[in-house]
Amino acid sequence: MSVRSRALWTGAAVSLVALFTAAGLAGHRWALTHVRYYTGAEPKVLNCATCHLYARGGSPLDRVLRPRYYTPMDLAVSPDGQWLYITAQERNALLVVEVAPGEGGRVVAEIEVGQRPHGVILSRDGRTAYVTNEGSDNVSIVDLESRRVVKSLPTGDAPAGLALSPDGITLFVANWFGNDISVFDLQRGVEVKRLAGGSNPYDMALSPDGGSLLVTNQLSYITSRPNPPVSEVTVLDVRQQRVTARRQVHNAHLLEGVAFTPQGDLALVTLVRPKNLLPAIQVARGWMMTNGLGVVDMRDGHVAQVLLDEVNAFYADPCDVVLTPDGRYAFVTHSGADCVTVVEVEKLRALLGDAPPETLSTYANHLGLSRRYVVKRIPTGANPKGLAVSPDGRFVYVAERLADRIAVIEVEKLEQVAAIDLGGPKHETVLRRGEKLFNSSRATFQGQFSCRSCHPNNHLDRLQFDLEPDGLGRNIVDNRTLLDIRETGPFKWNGKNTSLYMQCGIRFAKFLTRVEPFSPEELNALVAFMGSLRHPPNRNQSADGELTPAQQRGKAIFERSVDKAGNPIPERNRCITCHPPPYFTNRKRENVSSASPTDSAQEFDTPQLNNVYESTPYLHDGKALTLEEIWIKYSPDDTHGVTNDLGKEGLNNLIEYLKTL
Amino acid sequence: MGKPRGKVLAVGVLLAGLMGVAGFLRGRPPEEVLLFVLVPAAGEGAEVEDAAGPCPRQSQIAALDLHRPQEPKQLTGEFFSACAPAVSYDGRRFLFAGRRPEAEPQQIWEMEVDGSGLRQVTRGMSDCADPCYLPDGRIAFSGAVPEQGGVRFLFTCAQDGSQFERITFGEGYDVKPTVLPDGRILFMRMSDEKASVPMTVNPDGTGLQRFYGEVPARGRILSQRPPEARTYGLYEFDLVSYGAGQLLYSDADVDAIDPVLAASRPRPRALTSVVDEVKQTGWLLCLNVYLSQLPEVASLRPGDVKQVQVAAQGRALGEAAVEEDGSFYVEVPADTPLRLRLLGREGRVVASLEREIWVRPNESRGCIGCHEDPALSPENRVPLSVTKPPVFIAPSSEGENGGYDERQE
Repeated sequence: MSVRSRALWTGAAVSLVALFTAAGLAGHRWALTHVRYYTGAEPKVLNCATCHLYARGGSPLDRVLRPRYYTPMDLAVSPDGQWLYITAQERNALLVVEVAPGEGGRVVAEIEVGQRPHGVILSRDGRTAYVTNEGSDNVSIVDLESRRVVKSLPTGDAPAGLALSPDGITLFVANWFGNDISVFDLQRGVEVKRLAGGSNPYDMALSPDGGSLLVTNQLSYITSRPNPPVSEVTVLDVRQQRVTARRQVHNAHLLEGVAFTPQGDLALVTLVRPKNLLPAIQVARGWMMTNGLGVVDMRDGHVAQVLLDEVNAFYADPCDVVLTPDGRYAFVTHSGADCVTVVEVEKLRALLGDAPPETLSTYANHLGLSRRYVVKRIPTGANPKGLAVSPDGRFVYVAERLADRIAVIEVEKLEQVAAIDLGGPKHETVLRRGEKLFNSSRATFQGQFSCRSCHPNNHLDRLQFDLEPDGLGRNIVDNRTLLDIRETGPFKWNGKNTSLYMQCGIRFAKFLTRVEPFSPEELNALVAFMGSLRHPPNRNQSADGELTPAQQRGKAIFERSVDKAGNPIPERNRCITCHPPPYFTNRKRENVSSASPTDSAQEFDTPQLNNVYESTPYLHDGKALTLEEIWIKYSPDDTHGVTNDLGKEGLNNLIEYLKTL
Repeated sequence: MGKPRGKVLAVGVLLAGLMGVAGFLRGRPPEEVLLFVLVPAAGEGAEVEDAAGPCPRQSQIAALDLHRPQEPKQLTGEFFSACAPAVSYDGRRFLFAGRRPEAEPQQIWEMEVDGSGLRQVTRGMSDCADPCYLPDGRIAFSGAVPEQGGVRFLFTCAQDGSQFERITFGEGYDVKPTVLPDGRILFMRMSDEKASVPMTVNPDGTGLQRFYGEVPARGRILSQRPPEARTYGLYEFDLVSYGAGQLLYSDADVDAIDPVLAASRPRPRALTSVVDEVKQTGWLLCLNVYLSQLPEVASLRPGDVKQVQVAAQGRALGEAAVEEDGSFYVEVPADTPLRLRLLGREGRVVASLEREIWVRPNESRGCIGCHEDPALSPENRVPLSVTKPPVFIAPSSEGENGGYDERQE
């Protein structure tokens, strides 16, 4: 090679290196700008995979392996104590486990039931299982001898808890999202009644004499500041199949598990006491929320409350409770704290005694009392949910939902003596890790709450909060759903968080959890999980997608450009302008004159409208308790769309349509 | 203010008891090193000088391999005195307070557990003591402030001694910081007049409160002097007798005190901070002044308290209305020890709160009541006081004492 050609080659090589270097630097600079623009977070926390892989549903390995977890939710024990029946949510199955008492057991059958099975109970003879399927809105009746579903009964929206009358003829089902209770005549196989529940009826328990049924309601009645949340325990007369009382539980929500004492004089209800009316200036001392039990006195209906927390330790998200047959112990699962609390019932009974109302009021907020009746904390696997006690009272079984395992607790020892591995995949996907983080209270000060505590069912708790950075008593914000959140940024009502990474990042730790932020890996997993959340099917949509005439009229109003008098509606004041499909949000801040005197801003993030009927209350501060109130109370001058010309019927049509979105 | 040395010892023994006597007999890991302090024997009847403040004269830190009983290895031979070893979360290093030449101020040092890698952390002009590792990698310690009569406050700094920050601002004598499993700092506050009080504070100085609850058990080695012995020795804690068990080490000429195992332990999650040093004020929200264990307050009826008076260093800074629900909301000078008094009709003082409090810059501090039951969590209701802007309390006021002493209790 001549000197000249060598020089040419050298020059070309140098030029190429320089070109690649320049391109690399420019690309890197572009990437940094790109990440900052779309996430609002510093690129040192994120990389390309963060958004383009994790936030879109998990790692490539996860997508290839597609592991199918069992995710046990609830369980029931056969009358002879030899079999466990477990609802496996992600397998749409009822698992049959042969039990070796005290030593564990093994899965011997997997019976396909409906979508996302939730609760399970057995007939008295143990031959039939009844399984609620919250995803397919039905109850599967399973013949346990042939291990086949012999009948499916359609229910209301998202059936969860269920109970059988003593004669085995009547089945009661709590329709979780439907706010009602289905009553089935099993002889005829038909629903004979639909009773009004409270707010999201969740679980139920039959009194020992079979005469009464208590139904817990997960959420509080719809309300807004300054009113405290009030939840309901619904009391049913089993024979008459009617609601006989609605016991109010003040300053509490997330009423989930319920169980009677053997004497039937008391019933225990798991609950959370939120402090949403206080400025969120600290977490210590139960300033954000406390976790406890409601004690329903069946003689007079009064509901006392006691805490399961301690002075410097909290046990988040109590969710199920069972009592041993002798009534000595109550076992309570804490799905956020990954443990079971054991309560000595007689000590609790002695404490409450005939305490006067003012004393009971103090008990409800007292963190030092639990040492009197809590006798043990038993660690469990991730996200313990359903509980069942063996008929002989020797063992308590715990569904470790996100561990795909059943813990076996020996009552005499008050410790876990065995575990039943359901055989789920051992590989932990990014989504699974994110779901564990979401449900765990370990990332909050003293374990006081989890993400799930404010977002039950990955949705919302219907409460409003006074967050510190905005100034105390100012800028009250209504909680927002996490369902379909991935496509609906920016986030927060002020629209300042451009990504979920920002939403769950440093400021979230600084002002809410009060402990160090999630690590980048944890944040990846958490955001991946949140991004995977989807609304359940809209129950107001017909199967064929056709709208009713009223809904069609509402759709026309939603999309109209002229009012009834034929006057043009300014484009910026049309419904469709700010709420375009598919998520019915333009993802911008808008001023619809909804601000209150305590708000610093006039513009708020435009909320998505999918399944909007499930997202009460409304507006940024939750002051509109119904969809109607958005216009009749808070848009008198047509500042939030034009509705004054509609009249009541027209507004009803609009709302009928909105409920189908 | 003189140093309450007797109380120092009492506090030391109390903390050693609280932190040391625990039921952790789970079997030893393969290698275990015990760090402790050797102090020339004080003699029968004399008390061992504890390490809250200056280390005892000629005290030394030593290491004892629990699996190969032999003479303890002195790690700080080049120091005139060294004490208060505190082990890192990974169990590999430890901090201690030490004075190399006698004339130099006592500083914070760090060393590997095997005695290598000695380095100086603080380089101040006054004595530092009682170091501990914070979960975020920083260090907390107790430091003397000569210009305030040797009063001790808690400070934090980075591991290289930079980012020095004072985090307590009371009028007491703050010593013996240690980190609780929830990330807060537990320390002892002493004064001449009153007994020492366990307190907690967040590592950024926010959230001061009197400690209430059980101190989590941490160790299983006990320093004790049996009646028949002349010096303090080291013993395994015995679960049956709930006292000294097997003897690990003793020497007739030296006291062995302050034992700590050089073992890894879980690192608590670090606490976040809202402190903004640029700001000069913080906020104080009290939910209900009538919620109190003080007899003079508990007997009051709603409406009896009209105002709260905020004072600092014997001067009244200002007053704010107490709402019907018993709440008040004030903006106060930061990093200033404040005392509160509740005023009734015509400004009559109905109660004085004995402990001073402070807020850090930009801190919003919440109180449930006034000296209320420390096990109470707050009631869920909107405090009337936050429906209005906070009452601003200026850092200084007119007059010699701001009217602080004019109203009689």
